[in-house]
Amino acid sequence: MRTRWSARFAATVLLYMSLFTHGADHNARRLVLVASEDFPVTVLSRFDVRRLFLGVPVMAGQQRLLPLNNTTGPLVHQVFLQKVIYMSSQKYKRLLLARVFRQGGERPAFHSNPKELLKALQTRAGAVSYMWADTAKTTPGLKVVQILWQGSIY
Amino acid sequence: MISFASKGQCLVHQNMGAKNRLLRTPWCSRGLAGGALIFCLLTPVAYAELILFPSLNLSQRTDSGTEIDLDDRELVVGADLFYSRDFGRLRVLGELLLSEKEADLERLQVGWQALPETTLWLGRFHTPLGYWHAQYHHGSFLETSISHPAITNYEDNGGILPTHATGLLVQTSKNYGASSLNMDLGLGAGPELRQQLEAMDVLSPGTGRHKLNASLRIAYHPDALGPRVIGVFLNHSRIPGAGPAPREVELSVAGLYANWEKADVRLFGAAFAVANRLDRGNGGTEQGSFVSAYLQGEWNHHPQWTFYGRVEGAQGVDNDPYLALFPNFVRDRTMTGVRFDLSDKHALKLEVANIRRNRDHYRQINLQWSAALP
Repeated sequence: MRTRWSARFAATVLLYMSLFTHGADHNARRLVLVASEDFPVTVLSRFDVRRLFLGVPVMAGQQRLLPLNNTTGPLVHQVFLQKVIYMSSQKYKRLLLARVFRQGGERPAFHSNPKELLKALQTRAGAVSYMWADTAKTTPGLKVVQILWQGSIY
Repeated sequence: MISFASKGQCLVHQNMGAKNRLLRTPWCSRGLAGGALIFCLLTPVAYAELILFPSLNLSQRTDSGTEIDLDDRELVVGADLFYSRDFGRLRVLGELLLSEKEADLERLQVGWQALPETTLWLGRFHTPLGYWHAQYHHGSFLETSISHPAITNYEDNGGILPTHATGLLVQTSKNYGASSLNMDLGLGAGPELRQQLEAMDVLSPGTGRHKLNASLRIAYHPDALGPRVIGVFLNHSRIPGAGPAPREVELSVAGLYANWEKADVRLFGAAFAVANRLDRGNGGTEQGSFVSAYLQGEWNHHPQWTFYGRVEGAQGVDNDPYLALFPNFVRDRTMTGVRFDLSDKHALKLEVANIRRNRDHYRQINLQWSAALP
């Protein structure tokens, strides 16, 4: 009887561990900065990525970078805001509005349609955006500039 | 009443007030403004900013026994239209304020981004004077509160400081690690003193007399991308008088301001020291000085709910010859309010204030709906 209970306990622990481990692998994601494959942008500092998406002009050589927000999926923009920009969606939108009202210029565009995002990345000079690494890998015409964040999403 | 003058100008009689500037500008300027508006509307919105800030403000006043010249109840409908676009390094922005009281091009600027952190602007701009103007301009939705501190009021709203200038504005910033130092330098034509201060009308620059207005503001941001800031500012202007007296006012302003935020709490304020000298025109001059300051606190209790309050006051105002020209200047105000964000683009605000002006005292309840569209 004791052996049976011990075996059951060990089996249960192993099952949970395998589920947990499998889940962690399954949920591990990488968020990357992408640009058109023929745009010669190099790695940006974390500070410059924040500046760029907060509406501050950032140059790559002689070309001014054009940030495009990716809202094609439910998580990608949320993770970007939490892990890279460090603010809520409401605060982010309010800050962009206030900044453009103060200093002029244009707010970073929001793209919820993947085709439109891809088209903007390929046609607008200096355009950069962010997406999951696996999406970037399977999307032709794009290159990964750098990893912005990696981790698990539960 | 509107009448038409022989030189192709459309004039508004004095008894209509001096507010509707667009109506008394030359036809060519009105054509220019119309053309600019059409250009704005035809520009593909994907490559430009066209933002409308509408607002609806209901005020209810109760006096404390003294007679005041304000209506007990007032409904003000207004809209602020903002346009901005980049053409390479060239940047254009305009802000048109429309209400029952006025129609005015508040800002019309053309900027050249000489460096990523430096922009040279030409046109009509808000003078870099303190924190409030540069932060909110005329966008009611962006302001947490309904009312402004009296010292920050714009000229055509009873303001006593030159808040608009037409000329050159240089804005630059320099990063030092994670922090930054920002500088704004403005040189331009300041206001004229009529019944109130009248800034230069950029659509009719020949109207009135305007003299040099110089401003300098230096701000330190401990986090270049964060909201915390501490800054100082200076302003000097010579304001010609259009009426019988004074002939000219020389105004010097110095001050400091700060904004501090942590988690859900925000505190910001500014102090203004104002020195003035009035040339009475018959060889006589009068001098005066006063200090005005405000402090506003906000608590963002919930993403949708913000509670706020403000105290503002002035010292040395009793015998100041310049302030005597502005009997409606609010010398003290305590107020508290709440803001409810209906969505990312709509807000409702309710505010209760206790107000003392130069000659009377009253209480006021304000209710405002404001938005930023689209």
